[in-house]
Amino acid sequence: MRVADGVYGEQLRALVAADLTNLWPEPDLDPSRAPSARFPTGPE
Amino acid sequence: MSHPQDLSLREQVAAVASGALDADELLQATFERIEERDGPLNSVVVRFPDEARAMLADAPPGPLHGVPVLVKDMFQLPWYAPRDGAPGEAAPPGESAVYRRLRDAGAVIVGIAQCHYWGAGSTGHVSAWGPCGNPWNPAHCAGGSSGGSAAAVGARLVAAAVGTDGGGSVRLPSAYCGVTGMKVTFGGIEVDGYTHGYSDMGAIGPICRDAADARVFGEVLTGRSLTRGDGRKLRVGVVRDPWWTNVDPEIERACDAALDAAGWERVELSVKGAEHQQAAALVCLTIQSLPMLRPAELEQAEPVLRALTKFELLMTPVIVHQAARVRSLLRRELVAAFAECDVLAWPTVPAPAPPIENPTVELPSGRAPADPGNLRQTGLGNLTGVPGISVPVGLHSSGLPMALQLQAPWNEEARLFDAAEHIEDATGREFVDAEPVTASARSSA
Repeated sequence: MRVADGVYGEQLRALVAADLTNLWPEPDLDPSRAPSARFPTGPE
Repeated sequence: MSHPQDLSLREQVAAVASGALDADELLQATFERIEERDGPLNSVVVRFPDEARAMLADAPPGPLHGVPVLVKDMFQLPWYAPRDGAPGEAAPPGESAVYRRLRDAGAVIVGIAQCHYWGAGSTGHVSAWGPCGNPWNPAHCAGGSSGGSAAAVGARLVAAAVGTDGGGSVRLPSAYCGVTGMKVTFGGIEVDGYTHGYSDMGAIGPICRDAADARVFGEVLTGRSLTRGDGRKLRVGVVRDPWWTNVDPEIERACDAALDAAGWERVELSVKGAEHQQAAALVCLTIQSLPMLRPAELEQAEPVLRALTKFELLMTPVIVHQAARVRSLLRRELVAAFAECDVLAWPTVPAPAPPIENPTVELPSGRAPADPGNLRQTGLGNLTGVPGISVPVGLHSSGLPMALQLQAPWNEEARLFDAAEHIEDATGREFVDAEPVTASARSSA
């Protein structure tokens, strides 16, 4: 497990710690097409 | 006449259609070539002499009439249950969409190509079938998880093979083996009968020796016309950080030289969220692999893969939501990037294929396992859904291939083939026409 943590741990902890509160995930994410412009991308 | 498997896919199709090449003789020669060359590679793990002859006997006229092909160990066939490179069957025999496309095009499936255990790695050195060797040096990895498909095409066992790409698994082995591989737009090839078809990261793709062959094969797999256009006047987006950083200097120079040769207008870009792309891709791949996780197979897995899987199972729900936010951000960022350029370009892999005995790579930052750096280079395409192609652009001083990755907006596969063909022309086709010395030496020995 220490080996695994050494490989990916730093990036995963950085992802958890990132402040992404102003970024909203796509509610209708469909990777077969570009994202829809219909939904809000974050707080106004 | 040279060996028929030294002909391109296009040449094989034309020769069979004109009667210059008998399809039965082509099939026989293909099995002989596999027997002759595949021992050190282990790329064709199951052979179908009887089923292939039956397919040929029933083959309709079509764009691949009478041409032998391979499929990765992730597709249902009427006579074969796919295993995902693991000991047990991942699905029963059946008619996958890929099988139907190939059958209806008149192609002949001659065998199953090796696959990394569960498809969960970019080296191909871990598999229930055993490791897959690189045609340029069998002591080195063919890559993964579609390593068998790329190695078989590189060694000229067949001219076309089907791969799948959940985190780079078509593009990465194609780069390692010096062949051309495309991950199509998510959903661009029907996924029924594909063992990871439930995932919204995975896409299917053609692996061939050059872009023109991959276009022909891609048209069959997608069922779409991918008409040739002009790849000479494109704007290429270059995102230095992170995708051109911590890359083997020879690979960086080869990719730069290929872009110089292409003569495209370069646009320097940045992509917000790129620093979290690798972690987000890992999280999405891990979460989506859970439905396929069979505890008995986990215990049989190679120790490092087992440890990584158990480590990934400890991820918290928070990180899943963080990854979803990064994914959406990256998709919006790509829309903005493609307003400024026609294709994005960076090295497909940061280092050449590592040794099977020690699958680590030497990077400017030091020696590291191959997987993280590889996922960093290819995960964006899976997170966002856009298509990507790996194009051979050189030979490293180690004797192993180097490759450039090109990516385009959703459903612009034809543009990628145009761009790749232009790169081939601009580099004098030196790297797509190169034959691995080890493969030809084994034949003449």
